[in-house]
Amino acid sequence: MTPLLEAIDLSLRYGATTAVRGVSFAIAPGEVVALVGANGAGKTTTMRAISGAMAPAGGRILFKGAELKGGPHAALRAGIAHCPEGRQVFPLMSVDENLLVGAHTIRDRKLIDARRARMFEVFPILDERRAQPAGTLSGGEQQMLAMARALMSEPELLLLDEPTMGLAPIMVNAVGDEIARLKADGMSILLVEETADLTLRIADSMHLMEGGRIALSGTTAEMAASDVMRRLYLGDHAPATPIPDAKEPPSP
Amino acid sequence: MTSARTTRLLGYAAVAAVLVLVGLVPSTSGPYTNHIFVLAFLAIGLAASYRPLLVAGQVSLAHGAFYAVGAYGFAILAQKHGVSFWLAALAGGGVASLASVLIGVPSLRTAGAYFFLCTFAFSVVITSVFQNFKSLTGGFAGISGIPYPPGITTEADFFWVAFAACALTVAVFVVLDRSLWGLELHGVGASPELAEAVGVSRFATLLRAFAVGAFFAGVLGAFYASFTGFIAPQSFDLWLSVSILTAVIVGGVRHVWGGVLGAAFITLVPLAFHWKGSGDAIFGAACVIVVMFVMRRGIATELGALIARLLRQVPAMPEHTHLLDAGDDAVEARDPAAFAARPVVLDVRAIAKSFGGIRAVRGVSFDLHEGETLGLIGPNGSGKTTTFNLISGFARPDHGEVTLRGESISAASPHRVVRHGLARSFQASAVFGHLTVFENVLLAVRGSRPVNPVARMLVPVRRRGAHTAHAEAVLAEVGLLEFAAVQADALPYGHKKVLGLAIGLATNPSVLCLDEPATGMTDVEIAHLTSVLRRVRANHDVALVIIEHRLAVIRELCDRVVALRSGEVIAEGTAREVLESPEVMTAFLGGVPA
Repeated sequence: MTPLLEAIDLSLRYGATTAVRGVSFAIAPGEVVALVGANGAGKTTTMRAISGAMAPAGGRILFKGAELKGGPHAALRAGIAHCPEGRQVFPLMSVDENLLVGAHTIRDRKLIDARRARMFEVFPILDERRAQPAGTLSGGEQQMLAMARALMSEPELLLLDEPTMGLAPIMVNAVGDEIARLKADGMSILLVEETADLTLRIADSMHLMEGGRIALSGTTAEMAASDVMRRLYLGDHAPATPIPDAKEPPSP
Repeated sequence: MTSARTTRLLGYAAVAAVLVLVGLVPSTSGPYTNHIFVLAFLAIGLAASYRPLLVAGQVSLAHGAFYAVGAYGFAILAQKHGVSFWLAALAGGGVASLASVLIGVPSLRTAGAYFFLCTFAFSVVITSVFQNFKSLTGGFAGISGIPYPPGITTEADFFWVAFAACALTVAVFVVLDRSLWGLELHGVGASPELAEAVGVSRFATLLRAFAVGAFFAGVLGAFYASFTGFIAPQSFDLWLSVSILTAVIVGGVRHVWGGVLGAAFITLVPLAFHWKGSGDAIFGAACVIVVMFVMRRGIATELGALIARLLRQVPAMPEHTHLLDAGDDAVEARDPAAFAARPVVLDVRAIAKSFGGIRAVRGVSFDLHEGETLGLIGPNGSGKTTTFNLISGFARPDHGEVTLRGESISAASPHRVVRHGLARSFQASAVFGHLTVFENVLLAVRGSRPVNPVARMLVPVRRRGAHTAHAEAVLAEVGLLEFAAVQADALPYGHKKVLGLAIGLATNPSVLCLDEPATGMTDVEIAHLTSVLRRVRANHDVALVIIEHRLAVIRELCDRVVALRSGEVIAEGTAREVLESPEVMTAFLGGVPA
């Protein structure tokens, strides 16, 4: 099968600092791939390059066989939506308007309305706050809005950078269920997530990053059993159930 | 030879070269060039004295007006009343400074365009005063016959007077930039909220920068009046203020030599080409556009970065970027029940706050004993961060009272609350972005170690042994010491969170409020964070209030937990009691057994 996305020998720099060195991986259609590792390992930077927010210093990124070039707009039009880390919403625009911005590549109004209704179903608190300026939402609510906005564009590949950051456990579960549902619908996802439970539950394969390189790759089951993973990412954490079937997300 | 020494030698060489070149001017060129250089020296002084306010993030259009006020003040005293030259020049600066305080006090309290418009209005009004207050200013005819300094008789002599005034002004502002006073300005410019949170008053810092800058502008204005011998309202127009602003931006706001290089560049180049009329205005505008495209941070900053790169002085991110793994786990003998016997340090009584129609906090009460660790949990939007804002002075409660060590702090501003011993961190990684990790912590240390106001302005930051040692100790304690020279903006997310913790700790608080300290950390990193926090509270006997969603932190650190929902307390007790209470399970955990 042709991969949906392919990163080939990718290197990324901030000024004089090299953040990512020669990283290669692929995402198959319908696959959920997780990048894991410590803070500063280069996960967010890799994601920024795929979303077009940052130009590679070396290597290439292929999306559906064609090289990705031309920044964030081009990536979005090609079908890649990025939900960046750290609650990036338009603070002066209402919740509704933020969602519409996410759908600006869609022409069909009915589709937009259907997507929005779906988002309000998943995140009921956003419905309650739909007329409120996004800057007045609590931190966790802003996180939900950022994710909902990314989903509005109906992407083929969704980049999720820390989607549960700052969410209460009840919302971590809700977001996890929604990601599992998106996966069941066939969406391809690149996930960066610190909560080990969620990553182990949803990802098909994982790449452990360390000092800007991929240190270890494998299926989620292989990775969960690895000692290196335990030392660098999982800690003493043992998943309650080894790998539940992601097609049927466990009820909360 | 170390590269730091190379830079210093290069600096001396550059200064020597400039002095030699300047020294050649009067002997090798005619009166026209001489005249131009005097005006350029005054412009350089103006830019150097204007830069601090811009560093602190405020744009003023009044600097040219203060120059004019100083010129008039001096001329009236020296020419009409026969006051001695030097006394009259200082008085000119004093009058300008007084004017800046009068417009700064009402307008600097608010943020945004208000201050900018006030300074614009002042410039317009002051011109009208010069035109119409004829008995004092001579109206449109102006004031003529203004004296030279004693002992100076020719324009060629005045060249050196203007050079000395310029050099002295530049030297003063270079010293200020390197002192704690300068660090405060950079902090307020990078993040006014965080500056307040570490005990730096935004208002006082801005007002000081405004008043000191206006004083020097006034004195330089006096030299201008003396040099030309004649001043009138049309000698000073709004373009002067705009050109000073342009000079600093072209030169680079954040670089200590930015104002100097920018002003020299935009005044000397057009004059050297004998451009007349609007030539220099067009040149200034073109400079701004070119700089914005190729040297976004200004000439001085980009040149500095280039030299640092050539000398390989760029502080690289440490190869080993693991967060917090310096932790040796402190063994704690901790009896949560024992804290009840210690005095209450923070007492929160029935505080409430509404935003528009939304009642974010509806009568929350809790207390905190010395050394205790209290967890604050609840679903997203339940009012946890608003509660922190009400405690730390960032919002004022509609009802209720907050008492810290026996004193009410409900109406205190954030910088007062932190000086009284309560510090806080922020949910979003709030750091002073363009400062280094070390400077971030140093700015917080500053508030906890008072120094006299004169020393604060004159002693370079790097010579403050006690402050720098304290800052290094804090960085070592949280495991960020090897990142000391890195610019805070360049840190990964989790490292920024830890820096936020270090900043709070550096203020030497008796209560430290942490808003989601573990957000964005892996389970391994959270384990390290909890061991760092254990060490911190053991070493400092500091009481902690922690907002957190990651249960590992709540379970392992909190002696007591308060749960909020919809702005109200729904449970209080030990971590186990609260996490097992049915209400918390439904609202917060989502039915997952704790």
